[in-house]
Amino acid sequence: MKTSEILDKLLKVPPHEPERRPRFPGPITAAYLEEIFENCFDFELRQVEIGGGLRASLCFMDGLVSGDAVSLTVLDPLTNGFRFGGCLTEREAAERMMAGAAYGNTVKYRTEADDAAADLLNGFCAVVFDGLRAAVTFEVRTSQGRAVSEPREEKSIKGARESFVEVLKTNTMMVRRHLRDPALKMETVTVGRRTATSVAIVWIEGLTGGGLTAELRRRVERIDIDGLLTAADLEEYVADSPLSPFPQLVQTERPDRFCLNLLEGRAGLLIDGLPLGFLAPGTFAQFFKVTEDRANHFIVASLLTLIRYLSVAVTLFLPAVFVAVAMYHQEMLPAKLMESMIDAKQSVPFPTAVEVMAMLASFELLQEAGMRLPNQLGQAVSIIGALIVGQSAVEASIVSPIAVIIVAFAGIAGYTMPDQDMAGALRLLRFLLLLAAVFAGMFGIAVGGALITYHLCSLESFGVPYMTPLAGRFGGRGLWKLLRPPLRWDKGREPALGPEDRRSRR
Amino acid sequence: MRRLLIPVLLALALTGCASDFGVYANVSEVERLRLVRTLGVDADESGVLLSADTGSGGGGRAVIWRIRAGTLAEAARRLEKNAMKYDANISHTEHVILGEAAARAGIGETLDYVARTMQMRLDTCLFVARGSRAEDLVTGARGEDASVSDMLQSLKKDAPVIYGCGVATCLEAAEALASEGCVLLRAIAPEPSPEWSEEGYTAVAPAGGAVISGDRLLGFTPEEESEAVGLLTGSVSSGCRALDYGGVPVTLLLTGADVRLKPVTEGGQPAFAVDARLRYSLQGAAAPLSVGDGAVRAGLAAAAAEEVRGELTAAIRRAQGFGCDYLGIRRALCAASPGRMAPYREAWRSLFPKMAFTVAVSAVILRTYDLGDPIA
Amino acid sequence: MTRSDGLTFRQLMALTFVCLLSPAIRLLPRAAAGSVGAGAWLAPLIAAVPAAGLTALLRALMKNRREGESLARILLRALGRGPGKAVCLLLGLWLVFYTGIILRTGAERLLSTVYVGGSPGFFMAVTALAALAVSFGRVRSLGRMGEVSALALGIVLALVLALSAPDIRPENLLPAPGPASGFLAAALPVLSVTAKGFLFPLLPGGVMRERRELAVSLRWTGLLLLVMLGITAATVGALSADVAAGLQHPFFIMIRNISVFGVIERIEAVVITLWVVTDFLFVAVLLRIFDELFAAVAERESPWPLHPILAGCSVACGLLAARDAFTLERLSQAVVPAVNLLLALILSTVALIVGKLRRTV
Repeated sequence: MKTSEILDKLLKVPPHEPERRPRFPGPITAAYLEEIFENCFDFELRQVEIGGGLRASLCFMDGLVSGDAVSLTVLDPLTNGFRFGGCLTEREAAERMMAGAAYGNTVKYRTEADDAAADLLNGFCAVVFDGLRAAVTFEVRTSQGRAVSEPREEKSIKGARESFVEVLKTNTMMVRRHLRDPALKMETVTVGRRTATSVAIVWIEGLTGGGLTAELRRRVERIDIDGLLTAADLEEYVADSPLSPFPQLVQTERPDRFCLNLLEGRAGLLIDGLPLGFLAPGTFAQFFKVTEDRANHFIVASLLTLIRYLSVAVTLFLPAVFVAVAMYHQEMLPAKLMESMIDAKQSVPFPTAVEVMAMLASFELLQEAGMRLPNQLGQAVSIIGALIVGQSAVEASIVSPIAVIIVAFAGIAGYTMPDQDMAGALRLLRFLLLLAAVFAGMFGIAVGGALITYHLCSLESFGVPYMTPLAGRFGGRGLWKLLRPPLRWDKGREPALGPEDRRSRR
Repeated sequence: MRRLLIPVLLALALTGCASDFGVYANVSEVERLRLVRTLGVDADESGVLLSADTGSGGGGRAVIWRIRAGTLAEAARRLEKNAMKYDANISHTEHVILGEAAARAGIGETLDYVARTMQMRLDTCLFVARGSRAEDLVTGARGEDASVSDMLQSLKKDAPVIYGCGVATCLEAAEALASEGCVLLRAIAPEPSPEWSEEGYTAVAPAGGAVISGDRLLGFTPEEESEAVGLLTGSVSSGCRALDYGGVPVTLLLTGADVRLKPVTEGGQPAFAVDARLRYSLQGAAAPLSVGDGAVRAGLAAAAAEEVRGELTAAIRRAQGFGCDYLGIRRALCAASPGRMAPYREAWRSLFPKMAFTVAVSAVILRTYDLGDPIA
Repeated sequence: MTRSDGLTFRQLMALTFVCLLSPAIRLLPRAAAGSVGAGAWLAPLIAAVPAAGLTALLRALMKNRREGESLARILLRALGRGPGKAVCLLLGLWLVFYTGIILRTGAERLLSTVYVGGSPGFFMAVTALAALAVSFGRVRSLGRMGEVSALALGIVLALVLALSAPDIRPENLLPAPGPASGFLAAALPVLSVTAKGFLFPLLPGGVMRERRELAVSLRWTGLLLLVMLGITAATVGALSADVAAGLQHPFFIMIRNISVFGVIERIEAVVITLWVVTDFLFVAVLLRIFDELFAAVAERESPWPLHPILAGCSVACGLLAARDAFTLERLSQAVVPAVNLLLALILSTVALIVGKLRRTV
């Protein structure tokens, strides 16, 4: 039995019922639509006379549509005798609408109530012909939504300053502006029984591996949930190993970074309602790259990347190594430092392990508090916590200064991670390594480190080993891609991604 | 199956806490520790007396322990695990002082202990207390914040520059004993200050070399020979030489030395030749000297060379008198001419005391530090 | 998106390199210094030709392997079902014992250098359990870990050797003229270490074909020999041959004296515990090999998980066979290397000859 089945049984979760399609069986009539949207105050329905006397019903969701667009592009032409005069039947009227008699960039002819309802919820208005049992829907979506702004997390000095927003079409527009190539393909899939969220699968034909795109599409289509509202709703279903704390999809809020990854051979996902782009496959090295690297000189960018890699070691191992050295391997420290530590710890009532663990926990608490509070308060709390509480704790001899320094340094090293999911994984593992150090010193750290390394080596993302280019089928080739090689020499795409077009520049 | 292993692994790791099963026996709390910087080893009929000094680092006074036990290992164990206020930690021990009596009884136990003990480093310096017990040196330092560890630290740093030859470490001693069967350790002696009325000393002075053969102290070399020993062993990098040149006290600073040894044959018997080329700078002169004059410089250099030649000869003769090649002559000769030395490798210990040798020294004065002829 | 579970050639080489570092450091400096004194660093050079020969022999045996075919299956094909199964069974039994010795040696190394007064059972059990946890995974994950570990341990070794360079005295390395038998005796531990490389192709899933496999494998053999040369030269150069020959773990004692710019001293705790990774990986590999040997003998996959039983047997073997450090030393310095060398030589040669005669290889 699978773990999920065991959990379902333990928690008495009702059995899964396959999605009913169509959800609203029945012909399209105004009355049926009214029934579907019963008790929805924002559902508007009005009778209109088309041209020479034909009657139809106009439906839309107030708030989702632009009133001006409804009036100007739909109502006005419909009631214009010149355009629709002489229409004797509903079919004729519908055909004229489809042919452009009514203005609308996107016009669809619907015969299923499911499709009409979906259109209405997507910012369309529907002209329903009861006799025809059909409707013609027009896209009149309101343009209200958050304006394109600067990225909050992935700041840039030299690069573009725009970030994704919650509206899918705006995001696809931004991607298209960067990649003006007809080979850039975008397919939408609807995910979520109740949210009907549009998910766009983006790839470059002739570059992205065909197998990757097909697999990505298959995984997205397989998602059967009530609503896709958060990133985890998608990630945990699309990733190969959702139980692993390490991220396996690259997330970005920047269109330029999104396009850069597409050009490297990845396939992407854009989700309506989320200001993020996801890219697959994600490899370990990818989570240490920032777009700014491409803007800087390759040596500077490489050194900064190296610092990020070293920061992983520092944030993961420093507290554990400190505890191991202080408890088991005191001979490793020079005599003067050792004497300084001994002096500092004279009046501290707690053992080193408890000190460090308490400091790490406090660090996490402060960080969490800072994130939950509004911006103005959050900054003040961080300063109060860090300076006053930390300093007071040292002066009251509750903790020793060196423990504070070690934890602070490890925390700061963690902040160099460009990807917050990766940083989160490292924060979690830091505690586990600390426990290993407490119970077995350096041996415990070595075994813990070995298990973490094995776990990373066992991960795959869409068939690509997570530790590419360090390890894997093409392991060792292009090790320099771990850093930022000079662009003139970096002509080939990562072979592990299986791109159809292997070369990226002359 | 794999999911079960992780809790089992964690549970097993926790058993490391049990002091008789796992690794937790190795845990010590940092605040209880005091770091031993110097160990003193004395031996008598009742066993070993181990004295330990923590130095005055960390802003506090030095802490001193004395532990008596049957063997060195037992005494060290008692030192670490005692019922006193602090736990002694010997993993930062920098110096080991052997009392003269203990050195005469044998240094093998000490070297064995240092090599065998995980906490000790092989680059721990070895000293022999000349004419005294190690305990006297460890416990007798007087003065504000005085400790033998700080004094030895200073001596160790200055030894090659000021005192003419380096300080041997446990590793070097073990190497030399294994290859040559003998080694020259640094001898030290307390130097009481006339102003200090209390019993004790205020400084530690180098007192020549302690010749260890087999693993026992045979005797001492005079401190005046230290520079010669340093030249022959290659451990000297600088030094001062006071000369009397035509009634004028002159101080020369040794700035460089190339000492080469090569095997030769004399009367069909193996012999060796020492060729030393020294470079000096004029550090000071008590009366006007025409240093600009080449003849004066040549005379000064020749006088220095003659003195050094005598010292080198005396040092080699003393080593031959002890019957021990603690100067590393065999090693130097093998490096210079391995093929020629091959027949004598095994018989070296019996050959060396009787070997003839010649010493040739040449010196040159290179500079006088911004002053040509001194201001009258 | 998925492919059959097996290793790439590079993964096989990297895994072999990492796992052989541990016996190399354990056996080499002391044995070579004891046999030939200051010329100990020449031992890897002298052993280069026979080591290359061994590599070529193994490669010749595997040259015409089928896709997904491990060395165990090749042995079956070469020797025939009956003798092949007997050989696999013998290998399996030997590997239970050998795994125990690896665990015991790793524990002893920690006890005598870092964790004084501990118990070997704890270290053996933790290492075995950790290896057991990963042995249920895919073989290619082990291969990838080999690649990553090879890079990490290579960097650490290079750093250690660079930091130990100032302590090396050239006069300690001047080889003294002596009988050739001493040099040959010094080369034997080198050969026995490289001979252990015959174990790794036994992993299930086989090894993917690559162009110029012989050249690649000789390059990795050369790298291993170079590492052994560096380790021996650094150890004997810093400690002298006489001292190195008298110590149990001369390489780690040499590291004990290294100081990293006066900021960190006594880095042997870090280096020694890093070597836990090699033991962990080696044991995980051997546990996986049991699967393949069982499948070769029984001609089917095992219906129940063999690894926990075998891991338990190995721990028990290690503890019972080597109750004290002296017995362990005799076993690990003399018996185990000799058996591994003989197994590699004899098995490879006989299998190749018989296979060629039967036209099955």
